[in-house]
Amino acid sequence: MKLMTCPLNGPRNISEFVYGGEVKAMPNHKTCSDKEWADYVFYADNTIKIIQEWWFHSPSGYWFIAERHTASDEILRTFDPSELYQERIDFGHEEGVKGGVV
Amino acid sequence: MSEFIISAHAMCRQSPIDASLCAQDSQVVIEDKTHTTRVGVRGVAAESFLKRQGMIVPDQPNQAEYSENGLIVLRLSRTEFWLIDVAQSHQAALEALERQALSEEGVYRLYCQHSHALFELKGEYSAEMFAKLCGVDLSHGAFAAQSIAQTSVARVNAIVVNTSLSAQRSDNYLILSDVSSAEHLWDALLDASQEF
Repeated sequence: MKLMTCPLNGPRNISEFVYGGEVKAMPNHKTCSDKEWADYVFYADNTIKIIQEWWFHSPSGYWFIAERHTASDEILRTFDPSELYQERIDFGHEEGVKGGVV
Repeated sequence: MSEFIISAHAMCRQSPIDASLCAQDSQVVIEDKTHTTRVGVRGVAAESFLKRQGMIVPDQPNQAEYSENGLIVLRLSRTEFWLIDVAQSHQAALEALERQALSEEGVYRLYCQHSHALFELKGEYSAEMFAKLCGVDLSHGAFAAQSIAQTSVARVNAIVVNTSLSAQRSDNYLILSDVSSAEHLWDALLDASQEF
């Protein structure tokens, strides 16, 4: 059985976790080009290296970050997102623009 | 809608479990406590808010605080707390606390009253029974009183709380699980307990 160590709950069966994609900086969706946004949403480097990924522990509803080697599939480290993200990122409000579908 | 109080109208609650089916000879006793009152709060100010309300709050995530009066405080993460009134004797206090939380900055209520089912397990073979259903070691040495395990039980997500009181020398556990899978979990627990 494959195990992953959740920073909050400890070692758990891998079936309790859900993959959440690579950790990468989100561009400002109000000012970036379509190409930049598509690159952020759809594309990954997909090379052999140690990458940082979002993972979700489903029974506790907890998101965290794991460092994994893409060739050996070894999980080297898992940690709370507060190590990387200390503050909420706010892209600001756009004046005069009404959001949503009427 | 913001005035809606989750913990109110206790007499109107219903459980999806048909408790009449639980008559059994097993030494592991399982009771459905889904209808009892519980309230959750989350947020950066949740811990200080509960302390100001006179609650004893666990220091670490995945720990519980309780006494014989039946009110149990679960700390599920650094900023998430659930209050569980198993004895159904703190209804007014929890309702008042929830009302107070409405006006608190950095405190958000959680809808665990309606989202989760609650079962209570008693009996000295409870830990052995868990070994059949759960990958995490919940045996006496590994899973002490006041510990919480958020994991998979009978293939559904569950929160298992060891609420044993050392004075009573009996094993006591709470299981909280999504209400939509409550009947499956109930049947799985009854089935697993048959051999004890």
